[in-house]
Amino acid sequence: MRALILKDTFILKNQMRFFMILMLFFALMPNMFMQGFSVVYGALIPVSVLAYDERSKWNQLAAMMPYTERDMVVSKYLVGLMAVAVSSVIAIAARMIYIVTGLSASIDDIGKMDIPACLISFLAMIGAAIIIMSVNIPLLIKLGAEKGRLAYLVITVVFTLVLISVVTNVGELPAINLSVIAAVMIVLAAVMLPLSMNISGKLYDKERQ
Amino acid sequence: MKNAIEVRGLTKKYDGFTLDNVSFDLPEGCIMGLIGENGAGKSTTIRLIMDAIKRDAGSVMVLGCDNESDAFRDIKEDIGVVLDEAYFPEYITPAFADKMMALTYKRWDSAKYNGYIDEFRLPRDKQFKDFSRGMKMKLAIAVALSHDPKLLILDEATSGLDPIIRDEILDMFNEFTREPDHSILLSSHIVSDLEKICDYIAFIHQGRLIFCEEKDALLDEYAMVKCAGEQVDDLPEEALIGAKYGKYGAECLVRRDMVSEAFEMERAGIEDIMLYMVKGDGLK
Repeated sequence: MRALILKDTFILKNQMRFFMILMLFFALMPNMFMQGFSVVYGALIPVSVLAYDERSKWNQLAAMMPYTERDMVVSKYLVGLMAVAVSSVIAIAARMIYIVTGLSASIDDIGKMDIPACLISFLAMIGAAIIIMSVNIPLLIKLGAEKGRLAYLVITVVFTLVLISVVTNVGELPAINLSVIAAVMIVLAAVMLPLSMNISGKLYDKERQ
Repeated sequence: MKNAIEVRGLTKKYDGFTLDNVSFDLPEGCIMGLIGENGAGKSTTIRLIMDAIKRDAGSVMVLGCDNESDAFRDIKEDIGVVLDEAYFPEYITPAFADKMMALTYKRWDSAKYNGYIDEFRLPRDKQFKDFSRGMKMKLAIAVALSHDPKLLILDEATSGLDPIIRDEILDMFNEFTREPDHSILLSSHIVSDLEKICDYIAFIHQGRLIFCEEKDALLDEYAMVKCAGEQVDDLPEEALIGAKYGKYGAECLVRRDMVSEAFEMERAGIEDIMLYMVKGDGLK
């Protein structure tokens, strides 16, 4: 498993440097929409990694090595979760600085949100990223990188737009609603992630037919 | 003698192709060559042996382990595999492969690997996608040999290599089987390579195993007869495997011990045996 994660991070470091910098740029922007995008963007990382694997037919060689099917599948989720974690930490840290310094209030309309409300918003984003990943990784395994990527993009864009429109309008909603949204997202993510890993494992196994 | 690989009734059905009821044994300490035309089922057999694809019927034991059991994952530590296109992630470099394989194989020997990288003159920091086919195969062979395997499974591992390197690599494979518990299964289009190093030859044609025999027994059993076209009828029917008719006569593959010494017999190579068994009569 460690070898597979090392391989994926090597590819990210070498081939997707531009996208990593873009993700960092979004995470640091004093704009909740952009920061939210950087968190959800982390969920897109496994798509690229899977596409690289597919192009080099790496799975054929990996099947000859002492990796389990579980290693092959779970490593993709872990890479996605790591990307979501890194972008979340950077985005949250930056947001805290903007709130403390009062910078965000002058730039975006969420600036008036206090720290707990912001953290709850980010929790909702993280939940959303995990949900998106949970829906899309099985799709990618089933459909392959090309068709899977298309399905992934459609789902991600629709889901993100809905979520962000809810979160960015939360200023006019009672704070309790945001907490409920975040709680629902996190619970959904917690349920969907293991379920998705299970489905992906079965689909991966089926690919060996 | 123990067997490194035991294949029994191995069957895999695809649309338009069936690997049909293939059975053979690779004894420990031996080298077996898998021959056959493109699409005959050599790579399918190799993938089935490694449980990379699921079989429809039959059984496969590798190094004493059922390849569908959970324990087979540990057995893979003892197997070095080279596939026909190598299939490493395209952006990795030999230097990175060292780090990655150290986390993949428990007995990864970095010094040995780097020795092979030097010997094969592979650039450590060049990406796999920029390698020539020969370089790709060399990297795959270096990886396959560097985790102390007991069994090597090589699918077209020597194709794309120049004759000098190919010869060096064949020597390496020979050296590998000096250990009594080391064995090799290799498929190749270059039948002369197989003839040089194999103890056993398995011939797959259109998904069926035509024969799996000791190479020396095969070479003893069969012979080539060159004669006039009309003389072919004088050969015992049961001795004649296949014949090719040309302008100046006929060339026939025969069973040596069934043919009168009156016919001048020449040594039949593995390639002759393979060709005449499949196409002999068809080339009239």
